[in-house]
Amino acid sequence: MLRFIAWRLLAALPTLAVIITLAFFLLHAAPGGPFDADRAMVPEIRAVIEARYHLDEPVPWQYLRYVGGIVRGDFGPSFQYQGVSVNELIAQGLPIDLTIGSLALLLALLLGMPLGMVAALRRNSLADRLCTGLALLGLSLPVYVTAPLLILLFAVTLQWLPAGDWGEGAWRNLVLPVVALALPYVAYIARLLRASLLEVLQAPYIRTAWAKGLPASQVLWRHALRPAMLPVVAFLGPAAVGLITGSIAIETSFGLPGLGRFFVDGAFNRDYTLVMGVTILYGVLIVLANLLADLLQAWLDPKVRL
Amino acid sequence: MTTSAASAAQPQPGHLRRQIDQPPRTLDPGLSVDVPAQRVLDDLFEGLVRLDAAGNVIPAVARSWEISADQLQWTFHLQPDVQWSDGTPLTAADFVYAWRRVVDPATASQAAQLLAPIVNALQIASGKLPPEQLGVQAPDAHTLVLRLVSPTAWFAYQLSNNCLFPVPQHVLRAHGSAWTRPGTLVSNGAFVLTDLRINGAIQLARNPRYREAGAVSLQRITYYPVGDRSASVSRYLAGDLDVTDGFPIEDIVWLRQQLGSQLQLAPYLGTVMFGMNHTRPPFNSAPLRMALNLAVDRELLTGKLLQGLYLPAYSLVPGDAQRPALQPEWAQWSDEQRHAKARQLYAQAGYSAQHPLRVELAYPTSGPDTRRVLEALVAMWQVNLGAEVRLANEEWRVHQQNRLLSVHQLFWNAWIGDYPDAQTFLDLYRDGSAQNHGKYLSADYERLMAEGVATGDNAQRQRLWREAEMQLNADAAYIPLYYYQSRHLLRPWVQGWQSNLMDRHASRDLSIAAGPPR
Repeated sequence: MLRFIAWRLLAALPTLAVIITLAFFLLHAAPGGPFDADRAMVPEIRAVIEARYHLDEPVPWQYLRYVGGIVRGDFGPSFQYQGVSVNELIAQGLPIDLTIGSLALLLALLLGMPLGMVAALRRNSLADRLCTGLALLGLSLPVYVTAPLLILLFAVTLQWLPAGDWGEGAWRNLVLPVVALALPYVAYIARLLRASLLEVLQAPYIRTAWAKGLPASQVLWRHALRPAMLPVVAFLGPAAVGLITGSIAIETSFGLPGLGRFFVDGAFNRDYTLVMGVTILYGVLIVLANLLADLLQAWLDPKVRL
Repeated sequence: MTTSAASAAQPQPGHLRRQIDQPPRTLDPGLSVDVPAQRVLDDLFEGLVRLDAAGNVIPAVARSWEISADQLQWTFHLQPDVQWSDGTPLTAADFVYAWRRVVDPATASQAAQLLAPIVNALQIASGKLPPEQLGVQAPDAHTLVLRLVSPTAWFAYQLSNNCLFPVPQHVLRAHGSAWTRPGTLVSNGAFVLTDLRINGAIQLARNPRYREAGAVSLQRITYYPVGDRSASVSRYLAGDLDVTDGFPIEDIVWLRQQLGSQLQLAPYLGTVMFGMNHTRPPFNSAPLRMALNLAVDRELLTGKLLQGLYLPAYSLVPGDAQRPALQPEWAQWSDEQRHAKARQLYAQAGYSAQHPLRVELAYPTSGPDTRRVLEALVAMWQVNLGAEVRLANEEWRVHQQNRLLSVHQLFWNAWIGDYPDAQTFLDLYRDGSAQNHGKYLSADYERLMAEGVATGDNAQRQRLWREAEMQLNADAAYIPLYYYQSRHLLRPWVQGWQSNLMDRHASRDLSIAAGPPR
């Protein structure tokens, strides 16, 4: 298994190299620079600033310099936030995304799995229809609709929870963003589990289990659920990445100082190093999350051997 | 639904919660050029002068000053015992150090240009002279002598801006560019920085060493950067904010109903206009420029479409209490009269129904306010003249670059004044100005501006500015659309707030009323 992990990590390096190269040249090809402003600058001062950030060098040189920095683990200075390095910005933003993202993933599993199970076991009952209906709603409503609705209800009208801000991670500040972020994933997990559980329940070995006279709880928990979990686990990799990277709308709605806003503001402001840093980080996260999901799947499925 | 909710919000005694549009890019007063940072810096630092709640220039670190007869030399007398927040005495040398630092090319400050009125500032910025040659000296610890290139009455206002704040040289020497972080930032204003998270909350606490600490009522300030205007309204309604820096236009009717006097709307020193490229067809034709200008129904724009959130503009410079905005003669005409004249000029420029003007209007991506206004304008030109104007949307940085390179024929242009004097607007159209994107050029205008800059008589200068502005209007140098207004939501328990043209509201002048809100 260690060999498998090492191999997967090695194989990810060329992928990351392509991401870095493409992102770098695409970013520098976009018109306008990080220091263009409404007020034109004294040309000499502009020259000093550009020299300071090596913007006066040919783009391929800048690229080599940048790659050299990454190898040393240095993502460079932010162009937008003077005197702050991209490493510092990531160190500040990433824990926020990780907190919100992992709590949302946990919530999605805690709500989505029971929903999916109930729906599969009571197929075509009222409970099933309710679950599937809710799941469909959760899937079709984008975060930028649910987030303001949650804010309107729980913050503005009922005034139970704050309408935004990180609040140093206080639980009151976490509830709404986590719920808003988790909702579509609750729906997705519920639907995945329902479908796969229904399929598993038709399988001959389950019929055998029933025929042996095993109690329903044992049939379900020991024999049906583990294989039925496979698609859900396979989905966890992309879901984890989606939860961490896809929170841009959440961060905007709730004013959270996470990476997503750095990424978007950085792109608008041509903060090359910041955008690059977040892009690379997202790339690494995707590789790691998929690897983790594969390992989990191997553990669950005896047919998969690493 | 939310009336009860909105009134259930409670003040936090001594703690003011304010919104800013964006996170400040830096809290270094010598480097910062953005408005959100200015709000925070106005609380952290204090210059020779400051603005009172109404926006008037009043003494601050300088207790008094004299201006020489030729108005070129200003001598400031500093308060005797001003301290930095770490207890170090603040002296005139801190100002000299700070100002030299801003213009020093090694600092690479985007604010260097703002010091242009000081002797040698631009030469130093462009590396032709050493920073020591800047026209500012400290003969002793409490005297500062400033020399200006030309008589510049508005420079008194500029002294209240963050680019001319003092900086603690002892802290900069010790910490370098990291000096603005919480824990190391030493300041001289009414508040000190206690915590800062980029893109997150900025916490300030009362500075006990402030020279007028006794006059400061608030204990704590929190600035929340909220870029989304709807989100800032939610945060306000949820009771998380005491002041917002805006609200979306779509909500205006509902907000007026629900919040009434909590809506603060006041004239602001900014103009939205269209620029045209004067050097190339079609807009090298003065009659065509004027035709497009006359065909715009401004009252309709600002009233129906913009819900009174902007004021109609017929000229470049926004008005204030002393100086109402210019109105050309045609501003008083009836719509029919104005449209008829526009059609006549349009025909004179060689256009007709068979041969209509076809042109692209370039505008940057921004709020929905812009888009709906532009669509209405295109319709006005279509109906009133028969001109076919197409909208071309450009991402902000792309638009900026294209404008600087004078790529556009007809383009969106907005300008916020740097200081409350017409010159900040009129300079835009001077020959060689980097903001003269349309390359307007008029010898008469240049002459009036040069005279205005040179004269030591402020009344005479204001007369010359008027004449220069009339020249621009006569040449249809631009198509003015409307003037900005500042917009805030303000809780009734926030006291001491006064509207002012520069929309600056230092927290030291604010307080939170004890007792239940009225």
